[in-house]
Amino acid sequence: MKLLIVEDEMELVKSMVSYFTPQHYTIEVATQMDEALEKILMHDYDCVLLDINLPDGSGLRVLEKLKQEGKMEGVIIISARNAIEDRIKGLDLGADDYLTKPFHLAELGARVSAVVRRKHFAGVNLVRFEEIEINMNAKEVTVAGEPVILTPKELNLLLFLLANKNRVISKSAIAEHLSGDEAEAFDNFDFIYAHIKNLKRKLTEAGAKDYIKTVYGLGYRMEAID
Amino acid sequence: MKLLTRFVRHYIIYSAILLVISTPIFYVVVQSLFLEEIEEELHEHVTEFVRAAPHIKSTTDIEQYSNFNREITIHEVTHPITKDSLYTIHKYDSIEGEEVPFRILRSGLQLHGKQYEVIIQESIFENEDIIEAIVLAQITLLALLLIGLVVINRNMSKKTWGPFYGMLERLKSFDIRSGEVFLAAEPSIAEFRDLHNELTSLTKRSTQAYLSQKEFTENAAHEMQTPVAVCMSKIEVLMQSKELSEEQAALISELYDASKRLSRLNKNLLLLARIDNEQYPDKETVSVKSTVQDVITQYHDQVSQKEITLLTQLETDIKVATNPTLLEVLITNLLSNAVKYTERGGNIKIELRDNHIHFANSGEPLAESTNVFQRFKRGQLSGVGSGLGLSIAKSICKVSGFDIAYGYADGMHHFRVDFKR
Repeated sequence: MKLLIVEDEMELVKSMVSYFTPQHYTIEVATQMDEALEKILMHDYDCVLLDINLPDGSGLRVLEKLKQEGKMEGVIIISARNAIEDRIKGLDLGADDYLTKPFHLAELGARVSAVVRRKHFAGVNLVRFEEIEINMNAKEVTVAGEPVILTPKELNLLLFLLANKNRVISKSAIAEHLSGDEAEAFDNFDFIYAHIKNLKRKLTEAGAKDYIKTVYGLGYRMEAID
Repeated sequence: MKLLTRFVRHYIIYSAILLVISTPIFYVVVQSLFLEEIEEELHEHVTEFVRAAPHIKSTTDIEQYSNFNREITIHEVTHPITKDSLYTIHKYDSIEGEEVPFRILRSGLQLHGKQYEVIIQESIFENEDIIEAIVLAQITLLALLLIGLVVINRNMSKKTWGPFYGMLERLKSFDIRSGEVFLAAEPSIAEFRDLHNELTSLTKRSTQAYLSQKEFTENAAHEMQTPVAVCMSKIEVLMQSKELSEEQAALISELYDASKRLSRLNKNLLLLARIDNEQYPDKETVSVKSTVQDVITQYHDQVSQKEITLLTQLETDIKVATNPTLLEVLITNLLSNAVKYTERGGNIKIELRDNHIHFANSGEPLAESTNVFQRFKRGQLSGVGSGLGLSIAKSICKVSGFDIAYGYADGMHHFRVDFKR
């Protein structure tokens, strides 16, 4: 999978690179608009992460260029601007998603994976992980062919873990993913523990191995067992 | 007190003082003038009498003269009177029918070798009559003066103070948030023109200060987003390190929570600045009921996690023409606030009625002076929220034309938003 990160803040770029690299993404970086325009004409990417405020222009121009050229790249705008108009403008221009800084890398991981999935599986949209299979269209989960009934929250949680597999995901990233910004009101994250526990139970009862690991003090990680 | 009332009050006080002081002075002056006049007359009388005296032939003549002239009494005395004396006596006057004061001149006369005493009298006005007349004249004069002053003042103040009142009205309606300039016609009176110029430059300066402060909040929050994003992302990357010790993991987790709070605080500051800058102008008709239902769904986990009993009465719907994002933020913040500050196992009530929404949650009362809507004024559980949730709610109400009120009753915190339809 090829990812283009268009962002002028090098420290943020470095974080994204080191987060995505172990996930088998090939990553290229453009820190300026011109550089980004050049790169999108020369290569095809699966997903472009696009900052709007670039030193030599607006990232929205990169988006316009992509659409003019009829490119199929998925585009996620990552911007410090949260103004509704910017969001609407970006989405109107054909961006697939919009993320406001600061964000959880895990959240970005989930968004990228969702965009890539949509672009790649136009027809049958299946997510596979070992013996677990998720039919995205029917919202059905099977473990080795056996259906597992999950609540929408549990399914959402499973997809979030899978999008960030082999990575440690913090409880607050999970909380925010599951309930939006309202995670603010939580005085503890026990409810995440409850959701994780239920998900693990349902999966293992259906015959899946226990892939969801608790990382003490930090959060959770889903990984294949060697 | 109005300016005119104050003027009139001072005039009245001054007039009263003038009246009190001037009446006795006038009295003394008038009386002394009057007495002087009378004494002169008495002396003339005596002089005339003395001049005519050589024509008097006999004592009988004197008696007769005395009888015909009420003013003059002549007696024969043993000792000669060398010195004239003047004095006042009161005696019964048959014409007036009462006791009246008389001014008396007692003089001596030598005639045909005999000594006579000549007493000439002249009735004078009673004191009360004089005082009465003076006071009456004074009051009439002062009243006329006062009426004149008030009338002149009223007319003058309408003309003269007109620009002043104009500026006052303009100042009353001046709203620094609106970004308008203070504009009033320039008065022709120098003092008012100074005032006008000072007001204009003062409001201009305050507007500028207000704008730059507003801008600063937004810019500062905006500029902080990137470093905060970097900080958070680095911690997240750090989290991925293999073989972290428990201690390191705990430290990372704490760092992460702190940066998360910083990020949230920053987002809220930015939101507050944007609301105050009225960057949410688009309005549409929104159903409060469905907004509330959406928000409640989002909070389902939190509510059940804290074992809170949530009671809702959403039978009546309210349609409001407002910005849908702001309405959602408003409802979210009120519910979030209720969930945050309700103890485990407490109650939250949400009620829609007529044209208001009412949130109530159980909890201990706050310190009396606490203004819940002020920025960074949290309840006892500081550290739970950003301290901006209710300020944001208040700002939203302000820009949307809603009323928000807080109260504490029956062990519950109450928040009520009135949508003025």
